[in-house]
Parts: sequence; structure tokens; C-alpha cells
Amino acid sequence: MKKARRSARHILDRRTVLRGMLGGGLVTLALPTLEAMLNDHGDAHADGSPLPCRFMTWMFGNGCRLEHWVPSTQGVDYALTEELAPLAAVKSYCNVLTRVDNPVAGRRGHHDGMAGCFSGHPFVQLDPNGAPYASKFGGPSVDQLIADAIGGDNYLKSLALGVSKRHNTAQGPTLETMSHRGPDQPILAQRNPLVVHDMLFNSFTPTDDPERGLRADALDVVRNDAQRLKDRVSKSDRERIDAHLESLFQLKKQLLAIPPTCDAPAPPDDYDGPATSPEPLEEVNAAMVELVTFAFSCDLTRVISYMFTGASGGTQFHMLPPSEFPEHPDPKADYSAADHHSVSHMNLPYEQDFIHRSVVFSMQQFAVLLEALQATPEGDGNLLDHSCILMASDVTEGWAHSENNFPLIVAGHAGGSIQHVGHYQAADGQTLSNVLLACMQAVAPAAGFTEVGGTDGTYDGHTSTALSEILA
Amino acid sequence: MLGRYSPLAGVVLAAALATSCGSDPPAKPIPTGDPPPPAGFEPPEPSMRRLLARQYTHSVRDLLGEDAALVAMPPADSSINGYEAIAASQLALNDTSVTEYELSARAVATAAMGDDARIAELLDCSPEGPSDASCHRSFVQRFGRLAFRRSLTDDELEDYVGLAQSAATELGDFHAGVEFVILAMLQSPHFLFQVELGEHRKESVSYNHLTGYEVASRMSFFMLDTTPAEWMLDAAEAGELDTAAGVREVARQLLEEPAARDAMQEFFSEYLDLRDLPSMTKQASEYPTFTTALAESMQSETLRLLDYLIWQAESDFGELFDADYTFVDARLAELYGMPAPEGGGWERMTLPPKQLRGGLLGHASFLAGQSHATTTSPTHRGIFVLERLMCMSIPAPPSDVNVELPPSSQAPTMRERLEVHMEDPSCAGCHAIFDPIGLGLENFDAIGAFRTKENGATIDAQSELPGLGEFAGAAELGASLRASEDVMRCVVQNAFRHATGHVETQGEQAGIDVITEGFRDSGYRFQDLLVELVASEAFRAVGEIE
Repeated sequence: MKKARRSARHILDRRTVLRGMLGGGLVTLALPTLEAMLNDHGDAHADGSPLPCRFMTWMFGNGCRLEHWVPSTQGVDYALTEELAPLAAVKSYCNVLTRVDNPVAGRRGHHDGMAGCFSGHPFVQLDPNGAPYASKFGGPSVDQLIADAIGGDNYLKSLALGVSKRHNTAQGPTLETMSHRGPDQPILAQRNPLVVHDMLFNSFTPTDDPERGLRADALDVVRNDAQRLKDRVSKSDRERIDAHLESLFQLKKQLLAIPPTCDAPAPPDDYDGPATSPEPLEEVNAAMVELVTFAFSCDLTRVISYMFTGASGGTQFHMLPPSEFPEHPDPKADYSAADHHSVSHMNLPYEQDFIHRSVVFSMQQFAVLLEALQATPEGDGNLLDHSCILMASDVTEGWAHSENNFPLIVAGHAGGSIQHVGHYQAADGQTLSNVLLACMQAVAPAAGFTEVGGTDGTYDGHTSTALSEILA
Repeated sequence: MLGRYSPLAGVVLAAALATSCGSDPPAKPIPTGDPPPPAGFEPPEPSMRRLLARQYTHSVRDLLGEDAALVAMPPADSSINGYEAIAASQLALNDTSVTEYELSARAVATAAMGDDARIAELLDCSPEGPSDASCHRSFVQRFGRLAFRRSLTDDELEDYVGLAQSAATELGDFHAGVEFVILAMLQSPHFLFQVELGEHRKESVSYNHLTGYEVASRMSFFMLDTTPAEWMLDAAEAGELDTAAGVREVARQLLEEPAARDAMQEFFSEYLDLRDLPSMTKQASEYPTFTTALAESMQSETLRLLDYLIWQAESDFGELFDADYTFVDARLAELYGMPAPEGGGWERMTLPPKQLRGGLLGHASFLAGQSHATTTSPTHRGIFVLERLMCMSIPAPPSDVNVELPPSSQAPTMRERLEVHMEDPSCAGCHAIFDPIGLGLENFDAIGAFRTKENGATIDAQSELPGLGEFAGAAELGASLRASEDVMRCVVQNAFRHATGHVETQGEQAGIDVITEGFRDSGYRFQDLLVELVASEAFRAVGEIE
């Protein structure tokens, strides 16, 4: 193979670059919060500005088993049920919300839940006669609204992560991903921790790279092409071109950004390739949690969506032993190779016990995240103090596609904006949109959010009321 | 005398000639110009269509060589209404995909510069120093035409030549300019998307037609999954793709290329849900013979039957549904209780009649692919047939339904367990339509092996479906499907969706009818379907842009 004509074409070792920069005293785009920058109380910057708040959405698919999820008492002293027991170490950080209505429920299981839990907009049906069903979000997801408000100066405005690769990609964007900038703008999750590591730590261009400016020039030429094309295409294509232009602008910013001075964590394993069984869910989750922690404490991003298992997802919970039901007539049934969504629709005690134990397992993985954030000091507290994590699922209970009582947790204190209420049972009329607006206001008080969600004339998720019960 | 072409008139006339003049078989009617537009035909507004990941990579290969293709890393595709091509014509790019395209373009541009001969050929000039603008211009025009699939405008020429000059001057190297042009062009919407705008060409209709360049792109991406070759762009410029006859001629040439077989394999893998078979799992204690290797063989069997029908025998495509033979290797032969092929490898064999197999519905790719890990799923199998083979819509499942299926000790066969679907009126409305299809296939277990009993009870696979009649087993169901004109039309609809990136609208049904007639007239020869499809008004017309 002939050698490249151009000289000095080399792939830079970014880690070398980062190490080289550490002693350089550069002005950086984003800094981890240093002791010296805080006020005397350690709860704000020296100049009075609040410490950055982080936001996450987190989900597991196919719902819970209500009799094992809903605590029997309310308030801060509620007893943890079996499915909530994994959160014992971080109980004081978790607000468990029950009986919260889905204002956009009623058309299609799983789709309704994704739309209600993460956007407040009724989804848009893509249901032409004679073709398989699909849908897309009716408006932006809450993480993108928050990213637009607080993520503009970060290296990555937001990040979409996932763990199980057996998520549902056959019914359109609504089930495929949690992050949407608009109906035609889904952001797909990255499920390989090594790729995420590279996105966060190995993608900076050294300031002295002579090609930096030329790559930016190339982006300008591409933007010209896109601008000229806008005049000639349809209205919906103009919106798509606008999204392209926005991303080109963001990429140019990233290209010209100065690398941060954080120590990158060691690169994780390369979990590449198709979704063959068994998926190393715990290992991938652990690797992702480490990256989330570094990304937040390094301020490389402030907004992350996390799809542990997918909406109507087919994850195999191969690690769960068979249920013990000696009286059950099908004791040989073993669901460790089965598609989770399929099992969730088998309404016999054996299968539902399996689903219940899969929820416990998923909550254990959620706890790994919360505990890691809690264990990361920042200012006079920790990352979990300065975060808000909205955890939900795409249905209440999988077998019935029920929508009246989603498993829903708001974790973290959002720098003091969220108060700990323990188990809160919602009053009539309190909806998922009220919860979304509360999170938005808690995480980004300066943005002045006054409303969230929308309506299509029949299904109305719009609200101007935040769930004040969880706001300080 | 043949004047205005109408397919039916042509056939009738030819048949009349045949009966009066002798016993030669009737000749296919020869079109003498574009056929009149189908009555009531109304195409939708066009939409930019992102290249699928494989189309991006193949285009890079054809533009810049194998080494460049090896390092191409386009973002993943999404799917809507059954096809990635549909999602590609609706969804927008985002920060992640734009970043991925830039990384890919950099890697490809670097690798491409290593192919001296190709670069020299694209340059078509010898650079005199780093800032030789006219030689840069020569490259931009030549490569740009291939990458953008049309001639560049003056604005584009100026922009890209300017970039080449900047890079060459800054880095003191003429070829740096070339490399940065490649880097930029591969990120342009004109490369990443099929930009279809259309133009008004026929006075008699209010809608537009795709330009010759746009037809060249659409044909090449559909039939070969790659960018149109230079000779196709030349043909477009010469007006050869402005008529149905011209398009047919070019289409027949494309069918000769090996890439056509690969492209159709990809289409059928998506259409018949074959892609995920290698990652399918089954309960090991129930199905100890099931392995990933067996799943790969299942996938291969169906692709081989399709390849045989379309490219080797070139026979009636309906045979997909009821062929009394199939292709097996040792693993599949064992699953089907057939003798292993002599000397290993794959062999075409007649199916054992007792098993009631025949065609696609007796293939393990369908039977196992549309089952659970632990049991069969008559519902999934039924929905596959209804949605993919009959183009029928399935309503939403109801919420808050309490359905307890009895355990197998009380109801040993699946038919008995699913009876509760039929008893409850809120379930029966839909389940009465698709469950019977699956129940007629219950002699095939969750990995597609034949069985006569389940949990000790004899399976009753006699089933009936309104409109398709009675059947038991795959062969009888397949024969009913083959005989249905709706089923053959559904094949056309699916090819159309993938080819055009949208589900056919009400206004396009008349256009689909024309293609279906052509398919039928050819004796359902699939290569003829491809030719008829790309030559059709429905493929070459687009609505006005508002």
C-alpha cells in the first residue's frame, strides 16, 4: 500500500497531549470545581454564582410490579419495599413519587410512557395504512431543554448513554431513545463505554495542531452548502437543515475548544459488536457510571440520558436464577434466555416473579450510579447533592401496559433546590409534566422555565405548574 | 399503430395478433414513449434522503478505493415503518452524527491520499507548485461531480477551490488541498443525502419529475446500494434517464452487476426480518440443539432461496411462498429431518412431504425468528404474515387488560391456551385475525422443528382464515398466499417503500397498480419487477415543493 503523499500525518495520542497540557496553565473551557474557587461555605463559587447543577434521565424498560414497588406509608420514614431496597444507602437522596398521572396516556403502551415521562408532549403516530407501526416524540425531551439552558459552555452539550443493546428499534424514535431535540431529531445512545471514553477524553484537538483551523474552514464550506440548500427544499427539510447547521456550529466550537485539565480515567473495556447473549450488563453499567462521574466532575457535560434497558426492550436477564415455585406446573420454564418484553406479557406467577426480580436487579444498577455520585466530593458536599436524576419506566406494569402509576424517582438535591420528601403519593390531577417542570426549575433556576409539554388537540401534556412538593 | 402506450392494450393487441397470425407466444408490448400517467396519480412532496450506512461506505469505496472504505465509520441507521430508508428520509442529523461524519471523513480522506493512481486520475492535471489553482479546480470539478452526483455550481466550485488553496498554502503542499476538499465534500449534505428536488417537465400534470441526475442516484442507491457510476451520470446528462424506455435500458445494465445481488440481499434481510437471527437465543434446556451457528444457517437458507429464484432460476417469485424444495446444510438438514448434503456445504433438496413444509413459512428463519425463547408465538407468526406479507395494519394492543393464560398442565397445547384470547371480546377483535395463522403452523416448534405433539397432547393445526380459506401447515398457507393478488402487490409495496424512502400514499396507489401489473405480466419475475419499478411514474415523479 502506497504511503500517504502528505507528510506528518499522524494520529495524536490524546492522552499524551492531555498530560502535556496539565502543567501548562491554560485557560480552559471547563474546569472541575477547585477548592480555591469556592466561597467560605463551600456551597457556591467565590463570586456568588451557584455551583453547576447536573441533570440525568434514567430508565429501565417494561415497568415494575406495583405490589413490590409502592411503599405502604408516605413521608420520609417509609419502609423500603423489595424493589426499592437496593436504594437503602442513598434513601435520603430519593423521592419516590407514586400515583402521578400520565397526561398523554391512552393510545399505545410503551409509547405513551416514554412521551409522558420524558417530554410532556403527546407522541406523533407514524401509522400509514398497511405498514408496521412507528411513532416519534411530539416535542423535545426534558434533558434537551435543560441542556440548551445549562449545557452551552460545556464541551458536550449533552450525552446519551445506554447499557443493554437489546432495545427496541423497530417502532420508531419514541421507543428507540430517551433523548430527542424534536420529532425528527432523536439522539441515539452510545452503548460502548470505550467509545464514550474517547468522546469525552480523546477527542480534543491540541491547540497547536495546524489542521485545526483548516478543519474549521472545511466546516464553514459545508455550512455554506447547507445554507444554500435551505432555499430550495421543503419546509420540513428546512428544519432538518437547521438541525444540521446547529450541529456543525457546535462541532466547530468543539474543534476550537481548549482541552480541559482533568485526569482522564483509564480506558474501559471495548464492549463492541452485536447484542449477543449474555450481555455483561453489570460490567457495562459500572464502566458507564465511572465515565458519568468523571464527565460530571470534570464539567465536560452537565446533562446525560441513560437507557439502562430499553422501552419494550428485549434484554435477557441471563443472570437471574430460575424462580422457585415448586407448586407451579411449569417448573422447567427458564426465562434467562427470554426476551424481557415477551416475558412481561406472560401473566402467570412464575413469569411475573421473574419480572419482579429483574426490576430489583435494575434498581441495583441504578443504586451503583447514585452511590458513585454520592461518593464523589464536590465543594462541601458531593455530586449527588448537586444533581437531579429523573428515573422512570415506559409502562407502570408491563403485562397490562398500565399507565396510572409509573415507577418514578427524583433523586439528588439539585444544589438544594430539591427537598427530600421520601415517598410522596400524588394528589389527583398531578401529572408527569408537573414533575418534569419541577426538575427543570430545580436544575436551571436562572433559565426561568415556566412551562413544559404540549398538546395535539386531543392529548394534552402542557403545564405551567411544577410539582412544588419536591421543590425546596 | 401502437400509439399511446397502455400495458393492457398492448397485451390484448399482441394476443390478438398471435391468434390471428400463428402460434408464436405473444410478444411483450414495446413502449414507444413514456406511458400516460396513471389516472388520479399524485406523488407526495420530495424529501432529502440520508445515505444508509452501507450506501455511504460503498460510495466511499467506489469513489476513493478499498482502503478508504475500510476506515469509513458512518453513524448507525434508524428504522421507521419497517425500513431504514424511511427513517433516512425523515430524521435529522444531530451533534453526535455530525461528529461521527467528520471523524469518518478525516479517516477516509487520509486513507484516500494513499492511492496515488486514483488521485492522479481524478486530478487529470500535473500540479505546478502548491497553489496551482487551476489544477485544484480540475480536481474539485471532477471529484465533485462524482461525489455530489451532478455538476457543481459556480458557488460550490469557488468555495471548494478556495478551501483547497487555503490548505495547500498553509501546509505548503498541493495535495493537502486535495485532501481537505475530500474531507469537506464527504460532510456536505450533497454527499450525505440524496437531494431530490424535481422539476416541472410534463405539461399534462401538475406534479414534478426527478431530474436525470436524481433518477440516476435513486436507481443506483436502490438497485446497487452505491453512488451512481460515471457512465450513469453521463447517461443522465444525455437525457437517457428522462424516459421510461431509457430507464429500463439502464436498469437492465445495473442488474448485471454483482452489487445488485448484494443490494437485494440487504433488502430482503430487512423486509423478512432476517438480520437479528444470529443473535437469537432459545431456552437451552428445551432446545439443546439450538446454536448460533444453526441460527446463521436459518438465515442463509432463506437468502439462498431468494437468490435462486431471483438470479439463478429467474422464475416466478411466488414460489417463495410454496416451493417444495429448499436449501440446507448439515445443521438445517438435521433440524428438518432430512439427509445431510453429500460432501458438506449447501444443497438444494426436495422437502419431506409429511412435514407440510413449503416455502418461506416452513423456513426456520420465520418459524424460529417469530417465536419466543421458550415457546412458539402464533401471535408473532400471524402478525408477520399479516403485516409483511399481506400489508395489513395491526391495531394497538389495549391497555389495562387482565389476561391470565392457563398453565400448560390445564391446557397442554398452545391452541387451548390461546382460546382465552378468543373468548374475551376486547382481545378477539384482533387476535381472531392473526392467531389462526400462527395456530395453523403449530406443528413447528420454537426452533422450527416438526412435531405432532405438545406436552403429550396431539396438535390440531387445522385452521381457517377468512379470505385465504382453510389450511394446515406451511405449504397450504403458502399456496394460499401465492394465489393472492394482494400478497403479490404487497411485495411491490415493500420494494417501493425501500426504493423511495416513504410508505406509498393514497395518491400513489394508482402508480403502484401499474408496477404490479407489469410484475404480473412478466410472470412475477423479480428482476422485471425491479425494472418496472424504476421505470414507473411512481418512482420518477415527485410532488411540487411548497
